Amino acid sequence: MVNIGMGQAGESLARLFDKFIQLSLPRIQIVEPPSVADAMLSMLGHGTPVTAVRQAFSSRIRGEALVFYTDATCAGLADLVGYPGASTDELLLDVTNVLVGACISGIAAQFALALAFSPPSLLGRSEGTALVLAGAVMPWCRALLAEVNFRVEGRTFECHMLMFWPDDAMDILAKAIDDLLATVAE
Amino acid sequence: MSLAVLVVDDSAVSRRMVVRSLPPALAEDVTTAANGLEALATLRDRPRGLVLLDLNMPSMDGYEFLETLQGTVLPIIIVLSADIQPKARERVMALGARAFVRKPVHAATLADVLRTCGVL
Repeated sequence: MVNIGMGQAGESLARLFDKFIQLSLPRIQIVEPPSVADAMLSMLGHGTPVTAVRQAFSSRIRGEALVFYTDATCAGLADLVGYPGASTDELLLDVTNVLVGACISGIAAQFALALAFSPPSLLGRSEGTALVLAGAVMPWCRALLAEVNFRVEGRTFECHMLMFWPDDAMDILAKAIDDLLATVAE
Repeated sequence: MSLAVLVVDDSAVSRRMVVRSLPPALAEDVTTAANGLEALATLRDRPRGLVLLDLNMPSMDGYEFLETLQGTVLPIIIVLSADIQPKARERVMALGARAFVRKPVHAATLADVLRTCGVL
């Protein structure tokens, strides 16, 4: 499911940058508040400072996405997009909007679900990952966490997209997947 | 006698869906592999006439698989992938793939593509 959504996000990015996008293998796990930070840190790495953008989406499988960009990625973004004078913040919001829109739409389409997106917003700027996560309040009991990352071949662009489907949304998603699997069971 | 088919995909669900999408004429002799390395090993022991290839796989992805096969006589290779960026299609066609079909794959679409490739 995530693979197909990620493919659409990758295509959008490829068309935006006119470059080849390297797609990761999706990583999926179920998380609860005490372990969320650790799970995310292990997926993102502790090292470089990052700038994060969050964007929520609503449907029967409501959730949110957090996209993390390295400092080097932020610095090279205007050039990559072809607007040397553009504001990095604005570009980050635009690129996040493109990625999250394409990926989540791609996932929701497989379940024929309508979607609405909130506008993206900056969560942290050039901070340690742990600090960014500390600022992201997550008021749910359990969530399905999926992580994909994108790199641009030959350029210093790297971003990680974490998607969360909390509580009820997770259960609805699980049921929808079970239904799909039932159609392919031998 | 039916063409021997190899389905290469790291997802068990995806492999199953692809096998189910095959037209009956091609469903008699189907082998699967979970990544490029397994696929290469299978092809060495049991040559296949048709390979349905995913791109995004661990250990050895679809691109590397195609690159490794350069210089050999290729079976008919159809890429089935969620990586739908324009350059993905260009690259695999340049590496000898006959067609590119986006996932999720539908039986009717696959049948059309197989016909175009002269397999059906």
